[in-house]
Amino acid sequence: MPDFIRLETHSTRQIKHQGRNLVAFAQSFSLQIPGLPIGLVWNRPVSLLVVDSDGQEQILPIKDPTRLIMLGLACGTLLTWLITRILFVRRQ
Amino acid sequence: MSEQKAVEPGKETITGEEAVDLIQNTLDTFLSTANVYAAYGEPIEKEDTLIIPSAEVFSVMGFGVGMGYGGNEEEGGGSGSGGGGGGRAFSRPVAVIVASPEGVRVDPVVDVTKVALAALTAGAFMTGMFLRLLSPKKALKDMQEGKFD
Repeated sequence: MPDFIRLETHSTRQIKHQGRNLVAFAQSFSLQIPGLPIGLVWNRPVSLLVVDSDGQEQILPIKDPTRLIMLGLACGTLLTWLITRILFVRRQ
Repeated sequence: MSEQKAVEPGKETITGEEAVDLIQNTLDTFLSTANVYAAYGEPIEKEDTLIIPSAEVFSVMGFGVGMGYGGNEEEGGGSGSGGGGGGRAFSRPVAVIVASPEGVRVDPVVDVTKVALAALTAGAFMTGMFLRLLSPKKALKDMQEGKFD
């Protein structure tokens, strides 16, 4: 990956609560094109590590339903456009 | 009371190189916001329950500088420089982490307004495409061309 693009995963410090340890992970994407004074940063939560008092580990993914729905709508629109386009061409 | 310094007319307060350095430093500071604490808020503890909010944060920033010279100064020419910049940050809640004596769970947050607006736009586009396909004008043209014979 080029230097001006960075994709990193970061973790929070341990959060102790009722004998459990919680560590949250986030992914960041940053872009700075050399020579261009433009920067872009995108941070999103990814998952949560839960360590119980007995040492049992559990990873809970952080799902983003809004983004999934938006992607579904975008795919549906694109598919509709493709189908209608094919039907148009066939009619002609 | 704060003291105010008057800037002499015609005297540059910042050179081009200093402006570029300033922009680079600002960009570096901006890029350092790519960290975990941008996505997670401060944990909130209430009785036995701990709540950690999480959000998606997208930010963009840009700068521009320019300078120019005209003629020579004896003939009344001069020079000038300027710069500007701007940025925007978008934030959207994604989920809420709830740790209680019963266990730890991640409750997703659905942005209903955003989804509704996107669904309306997509629905309008799809309807438009289908209506265009069933257009009477098009069918009439096909009839005139004898496609239905």
